[in-house]
Amino acid sequence: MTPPAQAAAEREALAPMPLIAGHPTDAQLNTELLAPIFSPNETWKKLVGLAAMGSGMLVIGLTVTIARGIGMWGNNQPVGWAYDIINFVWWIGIGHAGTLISAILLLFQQKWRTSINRFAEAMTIFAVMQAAMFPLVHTGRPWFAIYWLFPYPNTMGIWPNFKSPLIWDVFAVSTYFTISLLFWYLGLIPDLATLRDTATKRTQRIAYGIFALGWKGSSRHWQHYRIGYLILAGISTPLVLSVHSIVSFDFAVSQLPGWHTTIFPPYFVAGAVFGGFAMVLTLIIPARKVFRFNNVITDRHLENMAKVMLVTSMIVSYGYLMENFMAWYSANPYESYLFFVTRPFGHYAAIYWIMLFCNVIVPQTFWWKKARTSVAWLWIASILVGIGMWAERFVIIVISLYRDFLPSSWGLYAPTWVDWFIFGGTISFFSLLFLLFLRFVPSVALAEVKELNHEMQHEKAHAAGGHP
Amino acid sequence: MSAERVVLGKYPSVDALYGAARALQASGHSALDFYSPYPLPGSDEVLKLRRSPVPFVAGAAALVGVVSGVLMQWWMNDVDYAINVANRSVVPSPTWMPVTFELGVLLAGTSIFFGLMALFRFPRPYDPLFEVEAFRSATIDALWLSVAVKAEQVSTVSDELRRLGAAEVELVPEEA
Repeated sequence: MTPPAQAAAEREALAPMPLIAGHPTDAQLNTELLAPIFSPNETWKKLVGLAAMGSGMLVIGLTVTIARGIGMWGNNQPVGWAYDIINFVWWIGIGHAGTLISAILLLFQQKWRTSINRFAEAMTIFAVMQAAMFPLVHTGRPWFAIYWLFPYPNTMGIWPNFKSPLIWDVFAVSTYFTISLLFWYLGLIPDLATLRDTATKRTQRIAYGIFALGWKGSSRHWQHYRIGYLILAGISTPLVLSVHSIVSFDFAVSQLPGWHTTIFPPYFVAGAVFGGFAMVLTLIIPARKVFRFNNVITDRHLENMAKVMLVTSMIVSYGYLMENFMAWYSANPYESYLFFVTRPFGHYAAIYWIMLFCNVIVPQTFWWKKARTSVAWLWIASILVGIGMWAERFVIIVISLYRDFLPSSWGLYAPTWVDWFIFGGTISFFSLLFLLFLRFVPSVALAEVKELNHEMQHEKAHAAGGHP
Repeated sequence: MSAERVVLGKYPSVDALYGAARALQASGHSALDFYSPYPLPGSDEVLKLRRSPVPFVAGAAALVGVVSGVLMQWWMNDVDYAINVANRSVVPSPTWMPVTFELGVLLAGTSIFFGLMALFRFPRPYDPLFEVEAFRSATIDALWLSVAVKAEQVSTVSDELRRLGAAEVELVPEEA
């Protein structure tokens, strides 16, 4: 082999896997990525049926809760907070990966985000919807929640107490939902227009035409659009960090051992990203198989997500370590008792060890390329991490509450069937919304993938010394 | 004044598109626009577009959010229904930071979205451009150039577009 040819061959061998497989044209990408919308899929129908049935559990759970009151739940003194807040924090955390992928990776110009950002953003919105249900329903009479939660002028002349982290939470979560929704929809507008123009049926043209708002791909519009999108990404970045920090304040500003910890905000944010990426993998691996998106969601995307999970798992592990260190270093008997007796050997010790196994041990396998590129293992690991992150919230909330300062107020907690129905129901309802999204909305950001495709072909042509 | 008509030309590459636009600008046409499935690098310079007002809108809205956040919390918790906890100083309170920040972000974000809608004059579900069936490819895989001209210039400009490399030339029907 001649030296230049050899150098080229070496370059080829060392180059990372491509972000878009093959050399598709714009029209091919269009057909491929819009296929789920124009061709019905049997597997999809079955899954929708299953998710809709599961959502029935949510309806039953919520109906019972509202009709008979929150006494139908398992939480009672001393464990006054349980499944409602565990599930709230878990779902909100899952949402965070969406914003991380769409906003933070955009600012860092990580091109691999392009194929998966739409999935992740949809996941954010649907997850925040599930999360918001819990604080709303836990008020017992959600129809009064408007003036309990928001500064709404009422006949009693009182206002929310802005010194309370629970009110900060209301503002953080509602802002987060609104901004995520607008960011998602703004990104969708060009793709909805593509869909309108690809559709052949008149009803589809009209329906997608309404949602596309009249987008034509004009350069005069693209100019404002790009800068607006970038600024939205810019403000979403501190927003996402603030949301889980504020969620952690719900605990961290109190005195309880296990909650009263200054490391909570960064540790919660890292945990949220960790759990959220796991959920993205859990959803994207089957979705790419069913809808044949392998060309744009390549193994390289999955591998990168595994790397992010490894990093965030290490941050979370550091958080666990620091909590234990501070409990020892503070020489506070209550702290030591919680961290060295109640958590590892108490009534709920099994959940603590599940948490450590899933969040600390399982991601360590991602040091090996073989683990990061095995789709089956990635999927199993992502589910384990999802379980681990749920267990973490259980450990923080229930284990701290059931053994507080006074042995006279110790008591156990067990969830009721209503708790399980609502939790299972939110998982089903989330799946239902996600399945509908896959079928009716462009689930991969088409315009962005086309742009990336052109950039990559341009770079390749440049590297080869010619023009595209 | 004679009525304006819009002529569309489809170009096979970005270079051809920009070349045609520059030639049209040289012959005195300034009401040009490009249509593409993704943003075209360099189109702002070719079309000589002014800077986008979006950052200023977002900045102003963020400021309004922050100021109203502070005023709201001060008025509600210190004036209208004062909550005095251990006689600590209340203005300004560090506990106001989260809500103030969130309101700044909320207003900036919503103003960007609705500001863009106002700039684009959206929603606009009908546009005479949509009557041109071939123009549908603008959001799929083709690059189009539009030029607004006087009615009597339509045929000369159409020929000009073809001479400049257009693969296809279309006339947008008049608005009903």
